[in-house]
Amino acid sequence: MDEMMKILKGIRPDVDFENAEKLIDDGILDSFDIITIVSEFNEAFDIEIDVEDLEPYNFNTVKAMHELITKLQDEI
Amino acid sequence: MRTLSGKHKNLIKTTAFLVLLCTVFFSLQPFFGVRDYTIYSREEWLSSEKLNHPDAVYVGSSQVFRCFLSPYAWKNTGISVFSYSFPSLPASALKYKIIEARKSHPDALYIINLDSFKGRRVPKLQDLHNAADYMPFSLNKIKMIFDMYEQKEDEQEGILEYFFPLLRFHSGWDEMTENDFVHPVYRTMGATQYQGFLEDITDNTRNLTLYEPDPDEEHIRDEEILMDLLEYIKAEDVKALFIVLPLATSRDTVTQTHAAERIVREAGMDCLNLKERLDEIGMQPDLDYEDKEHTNIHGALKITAYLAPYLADSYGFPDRREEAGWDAWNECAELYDSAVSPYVLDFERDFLARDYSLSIPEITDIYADGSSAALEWQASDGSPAGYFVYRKGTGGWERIAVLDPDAEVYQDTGLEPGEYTYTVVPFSGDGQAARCGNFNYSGRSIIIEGE
Amino acid sequence: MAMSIVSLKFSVFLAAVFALYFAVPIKYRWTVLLAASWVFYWINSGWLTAVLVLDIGITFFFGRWIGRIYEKGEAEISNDALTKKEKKAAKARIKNRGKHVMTAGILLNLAMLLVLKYSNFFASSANSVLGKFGAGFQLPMLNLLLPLGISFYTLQAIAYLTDIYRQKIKADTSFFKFALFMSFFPQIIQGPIPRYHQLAGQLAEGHTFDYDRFTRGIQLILWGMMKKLIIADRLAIPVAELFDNYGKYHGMVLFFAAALYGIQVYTDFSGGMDIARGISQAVGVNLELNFRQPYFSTSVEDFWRRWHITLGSWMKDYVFYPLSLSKTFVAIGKKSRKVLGQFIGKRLPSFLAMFIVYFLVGFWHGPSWKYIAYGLWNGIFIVAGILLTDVYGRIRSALRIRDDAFSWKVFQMCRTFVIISLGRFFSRADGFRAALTMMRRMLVSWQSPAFLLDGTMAKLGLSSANWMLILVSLLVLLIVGILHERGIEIRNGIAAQPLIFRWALYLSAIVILLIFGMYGPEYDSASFIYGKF
Repeated sequence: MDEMMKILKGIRPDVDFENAEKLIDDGILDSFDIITIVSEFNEAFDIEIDVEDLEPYNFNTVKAMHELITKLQDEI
Repeated sequence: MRTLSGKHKNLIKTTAFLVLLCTVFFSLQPFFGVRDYTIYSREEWLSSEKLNHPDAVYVGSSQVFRCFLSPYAWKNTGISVFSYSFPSLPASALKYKIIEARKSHPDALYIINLDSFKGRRVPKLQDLHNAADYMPFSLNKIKMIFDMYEQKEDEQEGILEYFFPLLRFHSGWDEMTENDFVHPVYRTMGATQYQGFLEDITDNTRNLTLYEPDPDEEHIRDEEILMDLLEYIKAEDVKALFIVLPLATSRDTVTQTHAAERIVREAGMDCLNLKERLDEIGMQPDLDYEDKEHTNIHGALKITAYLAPYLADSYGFPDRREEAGWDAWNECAELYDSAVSPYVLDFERDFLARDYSLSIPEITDIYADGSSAALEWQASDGSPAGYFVYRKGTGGWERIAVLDPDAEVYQDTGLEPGEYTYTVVPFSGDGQAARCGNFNYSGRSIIIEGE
Repeated sequence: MAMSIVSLKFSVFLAAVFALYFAVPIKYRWTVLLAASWVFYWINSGWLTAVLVLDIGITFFFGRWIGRIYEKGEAEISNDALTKKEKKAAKARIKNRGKHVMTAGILLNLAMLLVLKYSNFFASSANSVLGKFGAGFQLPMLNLLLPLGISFYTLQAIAYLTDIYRQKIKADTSFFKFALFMSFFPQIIQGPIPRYHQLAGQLAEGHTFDYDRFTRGIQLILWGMMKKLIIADRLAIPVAELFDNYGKYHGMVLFFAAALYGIQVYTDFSGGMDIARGISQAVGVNLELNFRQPYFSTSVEDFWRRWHITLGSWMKDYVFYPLSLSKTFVAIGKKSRKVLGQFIGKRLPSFLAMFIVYFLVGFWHGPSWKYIAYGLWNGIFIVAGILLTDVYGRIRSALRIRDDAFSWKVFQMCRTFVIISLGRFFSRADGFRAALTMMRRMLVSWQSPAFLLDGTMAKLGLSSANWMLILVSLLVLLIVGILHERGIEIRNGIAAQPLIFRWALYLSAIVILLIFGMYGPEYDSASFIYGKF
């Protein structure tokens, strides 16, 4: 969780990730951010987030992102 | 129960709204039509002059209202003719205009312009609008539009714009004037208002050819329309007179009109061909025309001077000038005369007898000398009894001298500074019975300088 | 025999569709929409309807195919005899098979689009190269007719197949319901580009008549018509004069022309969108928003999230994300981090993907180099915008301006407006070279700003009264935009007013449309700019 937050803050220090509920739906994170976040997550957690996972419900809150990472780690 | 009345409420609301919308839409139409208020005036006169039944209603195109001047017919003979004619009126519209006029005046003589049957010139957008826009909404109008629309060939938006001129003329919103809201009414008994017509005396050398019809051409292109009209006249027992005006147009048009005339005579209708009476009327092809289709004011007065007495005699129309209730016509004639008089001479307006054998005494020289103007002219052929000299300053023409037949010069003295125009008119006979000959309509001008 | 969406014929058609829709029992209402869509398409494209039907058939067939592959795959995997590893391998194999089928379907779709719309472009480009090399022959130019909306429905089909492959949706089992999704007449002309999961269900289920919703739909249609007939078609006149005769004009006047064209295409396109959304709303279907006050954008990137939104999101989901996350691009990213450093290196793959996206956006607009230039112009400024974020930030703090200051926003909006308007040279000028000439002329020759007052305006084909009307309309548009930006739904506000006010408003709007709209034989109403796509 902490490492994830570190990555997120490193990409977008201006965003309040803890309390945000609709990072995608409200347009807080744009498509560039998503790509950067995904590539960093892929590297840091040794997972493969692919296009199919890029749904709003996976990235709207940090909790959702954490669940996604966990799910993908389990699959390996 | 509640939803049912809710549905009903909505239905009532929607219907009421649509009715309101239609009302608004219809009430916008009068502000957006053809911007020619002389057309409006004719339609308005027809529907408002219900109490006074004119002796005759003359139906046709601009050829009619620019050749026959009803206010002058009234002024001189007291017959009441209303020119219910419209610019470029297609032949197919004639019947409907007659029907429209007969709603108010069923017993009048209907004079129909045969020159309208010149053979299927496809009606243009504008022609249909001229005929339809200010006509009151009626079944007759609907039929007329459908009939005219059939003849039209150029693919335009659609027939709706003739019922709702707003659809076409809304684009002129940025040029609207108060006339578009309160339409002016010109009370001219349908005669022309056009300034250009009144002023056209400048070019007298048009040399228009009055064509003879092609003797080999038998077929008339507007036959169907003509037969339909004749059928209507017979069925409704309309008093009708067909007139061919002495216009120059083209060989083809003249041929078509000639063929139409033949059909009309064969059908037993009254017909008058003014082309056969050119000498009596006194039309000069090089003087009296504005263009191939229309005469100028002088030609029009000549035609009216011939036609009005003809109608009065042939149909026994009474002289109503002193009759009670016809004041509107008197006022009309006065107004029209005052508009026209700056451009024509007194004997023209008064329908006095003329002697066309006397040629134009052209002014050869004119010069100013202090406060005098001097003019020289060449003698007129045909042995005139004398010459009149007319002068125009800021007002209309005024006769200022009566001279002997051998006079060749005249000096006009005591003139205030300004511009003056002169013309010389030869006459035969004497005194009150003087018959004026041909003269130069525009005359020659000179400027008197101040000291 | 095209039936323009703002014509009387179309209104009559629409009234008939509405009447029929609500007369038929709910279960069958979707058939009315399908019939209406095909009648509409036939009237507009005649025999080319066959191309559309072919495409629908192909896409439907391939979609079902992918679906069957997955069904069989499910059965295969649910066999408990397999190990986790074997299951994973099986899944990958099945996925791969699905991918092949999807690719085939997509390629067939693209082939139709490329041949019909772009063959001349390829031929003429090839010909100019062949000419340069002195080859003796030239490729023939086929003058093929385009079925209505082919650029739009092709994207729709690609999205459908991809979503099935990604197991986001299940293939449609009803050919005719699928056909309705593909050919729904309000959106087939120029979008918004729908997604299957958002639209198909709404179309298939019938909707009850809701008076309030119906009237709101009509209001939206009216608003769209006003935007198109009063503003867009009116601006078309000076824009045509300026672009067709740019040799007569200098400097800023040319920029003015491009800016005007931007407004024209906005009101034209968003007006058409409003009409489409209004029609759909009346029958109970929600189409996606395609415009969200684009002139309030603070950067070119923001602009493309407010302009032609569905195209942007299509590109994002089906080009940008797949490319950026593809193995190739990830590898590029790793390499570039070593060469160009962390900041740029991390972002290079997405920049590359972004250029490709905007190349495609440009190319999608039309078979011409000028459109490609249009796309790339936008792409360059988006990437530049990201790279310069820090620079702007530093300028801002040096000038002691807060980042949420209104003046800074205004600066950003103006900056964006200028960049976007300049891009319009490419989309409107006669060709790529003409666009460049105009831009050069704009910079090189001088024209004082007083041209607005010195009488030049009168020569552009509109009287001063008409310019005033444009000004007033734009003000109204601005106010409406501000309200929408604040989240205020104007039609709610209207609904809350008393009847007399509402009716007065509707009647005035209709009268205004009747009088000020550019329609009728006096005008040659400019057809939808995007309709030829």
